[in-house]
Amino acid sequence: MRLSKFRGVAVALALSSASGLASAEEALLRIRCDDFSEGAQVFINGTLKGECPLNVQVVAGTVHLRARKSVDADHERVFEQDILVGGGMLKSIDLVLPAPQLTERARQARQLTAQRQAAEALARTLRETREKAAAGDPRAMEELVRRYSAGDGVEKSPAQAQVWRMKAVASEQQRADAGDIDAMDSLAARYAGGNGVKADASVAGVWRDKAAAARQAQAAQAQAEAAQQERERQLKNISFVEFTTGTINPDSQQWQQIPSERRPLAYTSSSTLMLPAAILFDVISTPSKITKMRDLQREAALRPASWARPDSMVAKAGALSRGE
Amino acid sequence: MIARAPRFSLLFSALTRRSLALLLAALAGSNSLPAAAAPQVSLPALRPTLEAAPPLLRNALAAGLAVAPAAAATIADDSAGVADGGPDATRTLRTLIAGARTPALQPDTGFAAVVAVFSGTAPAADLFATSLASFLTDPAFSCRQPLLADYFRQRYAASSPAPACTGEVPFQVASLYDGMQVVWIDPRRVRSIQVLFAGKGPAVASRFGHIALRLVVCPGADSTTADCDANLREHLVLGFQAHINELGLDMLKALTGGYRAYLFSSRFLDAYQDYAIGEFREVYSLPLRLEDGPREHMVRKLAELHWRYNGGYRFFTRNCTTLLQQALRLLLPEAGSDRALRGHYLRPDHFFAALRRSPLAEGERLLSLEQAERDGLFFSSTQPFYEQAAEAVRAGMQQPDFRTLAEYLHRDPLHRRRALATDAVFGARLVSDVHLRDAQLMLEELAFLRSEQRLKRAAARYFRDDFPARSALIQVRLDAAQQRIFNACLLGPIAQMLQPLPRHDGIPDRDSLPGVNIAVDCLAATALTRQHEALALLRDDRSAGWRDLAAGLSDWKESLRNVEALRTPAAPLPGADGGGVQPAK
Repeated sequence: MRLSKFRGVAVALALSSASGLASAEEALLRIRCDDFSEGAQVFINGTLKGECPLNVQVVAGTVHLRARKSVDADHERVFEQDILVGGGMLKSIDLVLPAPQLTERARQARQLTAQRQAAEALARTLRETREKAAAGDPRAMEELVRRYSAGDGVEKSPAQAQVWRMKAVASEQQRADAGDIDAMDSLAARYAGGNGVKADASVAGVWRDKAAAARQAQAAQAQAEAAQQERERQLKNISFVEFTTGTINPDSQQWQQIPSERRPLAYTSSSTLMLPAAILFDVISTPSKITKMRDLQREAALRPASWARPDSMVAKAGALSRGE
Repeated sequence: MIARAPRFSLLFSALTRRSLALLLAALAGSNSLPAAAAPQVSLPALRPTLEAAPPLLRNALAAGLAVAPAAAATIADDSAGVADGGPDATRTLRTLIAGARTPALQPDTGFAAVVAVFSGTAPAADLFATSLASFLTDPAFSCRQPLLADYFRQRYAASSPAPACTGEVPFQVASLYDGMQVVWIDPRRVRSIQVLFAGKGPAVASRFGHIALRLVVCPGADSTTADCDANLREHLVLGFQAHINELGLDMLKALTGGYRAYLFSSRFLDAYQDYAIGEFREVYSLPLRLEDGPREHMVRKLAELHWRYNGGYRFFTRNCTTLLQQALRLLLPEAGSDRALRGHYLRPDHFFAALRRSPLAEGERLLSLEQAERDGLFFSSTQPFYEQAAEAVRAGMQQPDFRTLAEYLHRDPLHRRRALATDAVFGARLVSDVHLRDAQLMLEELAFLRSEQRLKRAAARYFRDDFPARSALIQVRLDAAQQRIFNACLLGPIAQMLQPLPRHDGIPDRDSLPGVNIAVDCLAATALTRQHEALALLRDDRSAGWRDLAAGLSDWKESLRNVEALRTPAAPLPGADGGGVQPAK
């Protein structure tokens, strides 16, 4: 009897030592990694345990696993997960580190840089606004009125706001007299609402009528110019017709106008699935619209990097395309 | 031993004497063979060719003549034509080579390896003879088929320099609004060839990334490096991909070789947009170490591969990685002995990691991602940029009704426009704050790009499922003029997109590219009118596919209007009903 008891204890001890567990309240976590994750530092409940791959003894229950691997001075890949392990269990975790992210230090540095840049931008904006207002720019004047009234970026000053309001009114009057339709509309709104001037409905009406007349004359002229431009644009954009449809009539006047060295060689100039669908709904109906779509798409591709990473190559390419 | 040797050497000498006699006869323009040969062979046209051939090849041809009387007889039959300037030297040589049994004039494993790279299959029976004959007789062969020319030069130890190739090479480039264009590139304008790697993507098929090549094309041959790097709009991407010849990807076909593969070409900015913006993936660009001459030569070889490759695609075993790896071993001979590239890689991420470690590439330039981003060798996922823009817009609004980028994009374009129009303070800030306006514009542009993707999916579903039956139904109701335009402008482009790409034996020149399909100008006013008439018949509001397509187009159009309004500085923002609304002053 004594011998069999001893055997039972020995077996139990052998089993527990084989699993590396000293007691049923502990568990074993086996952390495995792929090529990219190998060598990542592994923290259990905030304590560094080693580098992946590794096996770690943990107390049964919920453990917080964090793994990090440095990419460069500012980037690291971080994996975090809460894991529930039962007592006496062996649990395997496959570590797959996600895309790089900024380190905390780098994030804070960027935040400080962003704050500094925002402050510099505000100072620059204010300086430019004042310069423009001093030079007679009505929008800049209105901007100063707004800022001084609200205390936005400057010390709140109703007196200064009134000074700029009077200047804006005078400037607006001058421009309206010279035929500026926006100024006429603005004056009409001012006299209707008593904004910076004494309210006067009849004067407001006069400016409204003047604005309407000027608008009518402008529209007629624009229509004539647009017709002329459209004709010129269609001639200039003949190559788009060639390449987007791959089809042209060699007897047509359009074909004859293309210099022989520029005549298209693209034989499978099939439009993609977009164009049949778009033509279905007459969205794209002239070659100039196709140009516009392509330019728009290109700008949209370059803008995010230009906005967030102004020193990136994409931003430089964007500046180049804008002629900066 | 002494007794055997003279007999053997005598036989050898006899053969050598005979072959030399034949060769000398050919070189001397003699019209007759030595008396020992039965047929008469006249080879005056081959004289300059044989004189110019590498010695190993010249000897092999002579040996071929000696042991192949049948071939010689055939040549003799042609000799009258040759003397009269009829059948050319190429055909004569081809016959000779095809009939020869000497091992030096047989295709070897090297030849099979080259052909496997550009065709994906075993070589056709007469390809070796045809190619070798052209290599010997056609001055343009080396520039039109540089892959095979390099093989022949190496095999036959050509000592004279390869002919200098000048002029542009074509690539067939597809893009959304330009369709398929042929772009002509002067290899001297390519400043760098780089391995492009797009990181893990959201789809199952892209979880290991994607790998391709990038050509850094400069504005001119003597542009500065900075100008070349910034010339992104002309950079090209060349990548092996499956040709999905139907309106929707069939994964089973992709796994089992149901699709062809080609070395497709696209604009770098399109690839950047697809990966970094469309799928929020990081993009890496790893320069290969290449001097000017080898780099220009590699561009030509890539052009040949681009027009010639016609293999099958299999997701696991004949994918972008395996095909690129195979191609690089041919394009960069030292790749075969490079320790890092010796393995056989199936996954793009693993292959790229190996390339980064290889001395054939400038892996050190990707050690600092910040510097690499400045140099145009790393392109961040734009997801954090858009999220920052969403935060900036949210902070600028009086009462934002979204919390995250995803929520912003989920709102329909009219709703977004209404929010802009009714927030006068935010509208004023957009006028004065360029940075904020750009952030708002970014969000609308992203929404527009997303709507384009949804529209393409809806269009693919519609054209696959609903359109065939509908178009058959209405075609009987179209008159001849309407039907001509319907076929050319709607059915034609779709059918063309699904057909295999035309292949060429080598780099095509301008003359060998067929001309434009002469049919209908689909964007001319009369054609559009006819299309509208057909479309009136096509409309089917009972069809779910049609309704999805219509909804997708409406979304696309309204998103486009939002973008156009924000792009015009200080222009009135569109009102919720499309009318103008002045931002508050």
